[in-house]
Amino acid sequence: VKRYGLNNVVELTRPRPRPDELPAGRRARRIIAVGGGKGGIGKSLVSANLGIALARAGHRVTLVDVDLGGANLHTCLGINQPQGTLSDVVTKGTRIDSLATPTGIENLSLVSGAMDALDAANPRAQARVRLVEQLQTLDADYLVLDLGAGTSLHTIDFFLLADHGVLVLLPEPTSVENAYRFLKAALFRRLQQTAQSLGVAPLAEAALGSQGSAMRTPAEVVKAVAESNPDAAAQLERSLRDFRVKLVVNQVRSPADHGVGRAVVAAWKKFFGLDMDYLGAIAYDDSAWQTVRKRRPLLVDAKESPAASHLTAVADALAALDRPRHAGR
Amino acid sequence: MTATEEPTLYDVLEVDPASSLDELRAAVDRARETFGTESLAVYALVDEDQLGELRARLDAAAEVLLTRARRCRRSSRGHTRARRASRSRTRTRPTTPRRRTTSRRRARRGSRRSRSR
Repeated sequence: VKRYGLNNVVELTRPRPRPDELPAGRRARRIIAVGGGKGGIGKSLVSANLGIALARAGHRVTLVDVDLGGANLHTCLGINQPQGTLSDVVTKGTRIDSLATPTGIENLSLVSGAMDALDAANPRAQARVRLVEQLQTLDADYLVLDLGAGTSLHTIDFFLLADHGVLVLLPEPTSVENAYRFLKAALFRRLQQTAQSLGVAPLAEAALGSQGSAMRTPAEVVKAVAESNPDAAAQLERSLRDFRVKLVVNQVRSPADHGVGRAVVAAWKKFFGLDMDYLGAIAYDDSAWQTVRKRRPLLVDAKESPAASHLTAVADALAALDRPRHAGR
Repeated sequence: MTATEEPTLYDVLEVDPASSLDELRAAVDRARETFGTESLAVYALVDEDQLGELRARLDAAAEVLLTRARRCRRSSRGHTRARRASRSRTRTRPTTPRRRTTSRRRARRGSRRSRSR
């Protein structure tokens, strides 16, 4: 195995145990990655306000701006561009915890991702693995990663690294199209990584490529692998089952828009056989763009607005996933 | 995600096999809305052939299950009507001969009285 090869990323992005499954005394840290494929759909708005809502609920939260080509999470939070950024981790070997900047909100810090190094938006595999390793050393209850647009490998790998991959989309064809492109790229990457670690990559590749342009479903790939290697197929199936994305529909205007979230969950399950959790919808709200213009977070400047209460509900829904299963019984 | 099992007609419509006719109708409407040509949820998810194949499977499942459920409802209604009819028959049967007996007795009593006079 090469030091910074694919298998390292496989190891690092392996699903981690739930907090209640961890041995007593170990920190129950969770990583949330907010992506969506398309630019301008509110990923940074969701990330920043999700971080604020979780921090207000008493969790220690670090927001990390991994939109390496266009980092601007600091602007959403109303703070100046921090001096140290993620590029220092790659170029100077700076420890990531020294880059965490207070945001003025209790329990919430920010690691800025504005990278000025050449080719920063698309770092090499070695830099990616180093960033992933460093991220996991951050001491916080929640890390919230704000991903960039597109389907570049580093964006997908950060999404797969997370315990909760949050997909943001708008009820518009362009956004839905890019969201599916992003989802399929992430699923394909997970499949490739797992198949490679199990030594069945050629079988999986053959199954994937045997249907022309239409993507094979995970079940079909697992079935094809099972014909030659049932044990590997069972592990592959388990790994793909863990690919359980959390959906947020932003800028909802009409009752029909409200239905898009549940319909996307149903369509994804129908064609790909995988579960997706619908965390909720966020209403289209003038407060959102108004607070962005003022460089003030929505949950701080317009906390009574409908969008703010919807964002808080999304954060509650996410946090509920991490509550011990026996709690509340 | 199951690699081996073939979906049943109930799986295709995502309903419980014990669903009522109304529940089935709601599931069919929901599926037609989710996977219809106007649906945003299937835009760019899969190609047109895959969508067409799914719509055909949904239509086939809807036809079979709705027909079966309507038949069940009809037969259960028929069964209910038959049960009501049989209940009403069992109620009237014992009363009719009793009346006849009573009227015969009255007739006999009448004839006895007229004879004694």
